Amino acid sequence: MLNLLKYEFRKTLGVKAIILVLTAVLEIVFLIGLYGEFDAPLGIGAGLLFTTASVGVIVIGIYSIILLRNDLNTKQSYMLFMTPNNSYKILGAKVIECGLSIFIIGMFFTALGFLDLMLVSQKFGEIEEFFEVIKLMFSEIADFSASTLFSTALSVMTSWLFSVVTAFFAVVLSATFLNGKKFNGLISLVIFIAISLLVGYIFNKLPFDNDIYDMKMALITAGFYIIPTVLMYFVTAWIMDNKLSV
Amino acid sequence: MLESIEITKKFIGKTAVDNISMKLEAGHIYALLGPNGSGKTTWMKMVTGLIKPTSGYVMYNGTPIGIPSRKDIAYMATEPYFYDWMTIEGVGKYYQDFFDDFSMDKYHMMLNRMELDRSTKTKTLSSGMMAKLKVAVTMAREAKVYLLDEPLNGIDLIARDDVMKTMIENAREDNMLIISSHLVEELESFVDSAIFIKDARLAGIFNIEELRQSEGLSLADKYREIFGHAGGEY
Repeated sequence: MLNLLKYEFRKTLGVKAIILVLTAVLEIVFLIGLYGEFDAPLGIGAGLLFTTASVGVIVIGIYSIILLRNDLNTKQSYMLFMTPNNSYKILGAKVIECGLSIFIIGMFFTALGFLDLMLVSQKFGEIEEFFEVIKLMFSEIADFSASTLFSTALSVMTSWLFSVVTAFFAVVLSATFLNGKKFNGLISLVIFIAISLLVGYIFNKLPFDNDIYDMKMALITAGFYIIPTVLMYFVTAWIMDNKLSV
Repeated sequence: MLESIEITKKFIGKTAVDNISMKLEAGHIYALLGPNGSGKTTWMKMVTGLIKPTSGYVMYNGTPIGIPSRKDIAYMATEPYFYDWMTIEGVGKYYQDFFDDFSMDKYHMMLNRMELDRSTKTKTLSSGMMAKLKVAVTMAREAKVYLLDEPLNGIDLIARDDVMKTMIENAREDNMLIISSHLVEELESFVDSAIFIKDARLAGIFNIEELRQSEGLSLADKYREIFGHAGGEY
């Protein structure tokens, strides 16, 4: 399993390196703008950093889906499926790698964003004012704190991981039961959307106040999405073990 | 022992392997012969577990093939299948990480003999170098069953000699080699048995020495007899 994980990390190294290099460049632009008091670089750096942070986590997930698709549909699949590892391990390594990457990169961007906001605050005002500004920005947040920010980030990342694992399921369906059938891609996409909507519907029916900026609710959201994620993982791995030909 | 029991693989609109049953024993080098599309590759992939049969099954030492049998079965596909970012050394490390029977020393020895530079990226290899690499990394395993799909395809005479030498050196009493190829004359010099597959069905298994003695036919003659225009139905 550790070896599988090692190679899954290696496969995604390129895209992660691109995201990190881009972030480093934008951070430098942002800091030059901040301490050189140049408005344009400050605005551009901050804006693009926010965009990179939002897109970066999404890119990691989408890239994992593309990798699975390649691992099932190209000759490189032999590298995985001729090794003495069952599909639970092979898929498990992919899910863990994706989950860890989303979590680490997501937390990295959350921490970086928090740090940058503090730097702006230190430069232009008091720390307390910074939190006041943040509270104004997110007026619905009753009790804004670092822990709220991180638990909210965790809930977003967990629900995103669920989407990625559901996409894994759709990719595997496409390579097994739907393989060679007309509208294969479209059908698997519809199944992906249907499952996502169904799980979203069930979540909304839960007797909780659906406020993602509430720390307790954020943790409930994270906990909720782990259940269908694990379920999708087992179903997908079972299909791979019993029906997949590469 | 490897046993293929009434194994069939159907794809949409085509039967790639049709009800093939045969027993193969250790201590032999088998040639797997048949024209393009006859089902050789599909049969090999089913033995490796890469393709699930539509019906029938494969037994390895009395047990249906599965994850444990992959520890003993080494498969070399026709097409390049290494990750683009890997170097030749990296391919060896990958095999070492996943296969307990892989010998890095043996791999390095074969790379040296085949004049392959360990630091070369696999995506830059010529077809001849790729063929040598595939054989080297596969044969560096101490497997019980080697399935080599078209190992002599698209390579020059010198590379072919290297590949054939490597295969012969690794044949032992406790393992079996199953080699598919269209180059019947080359195979005849070192295989002892031949499996003929025609139109997805088994057309016969022959001991080459017996063929020579009882029918006065070489392997190439038998190939022509089975697959030539006058070839009979099996």
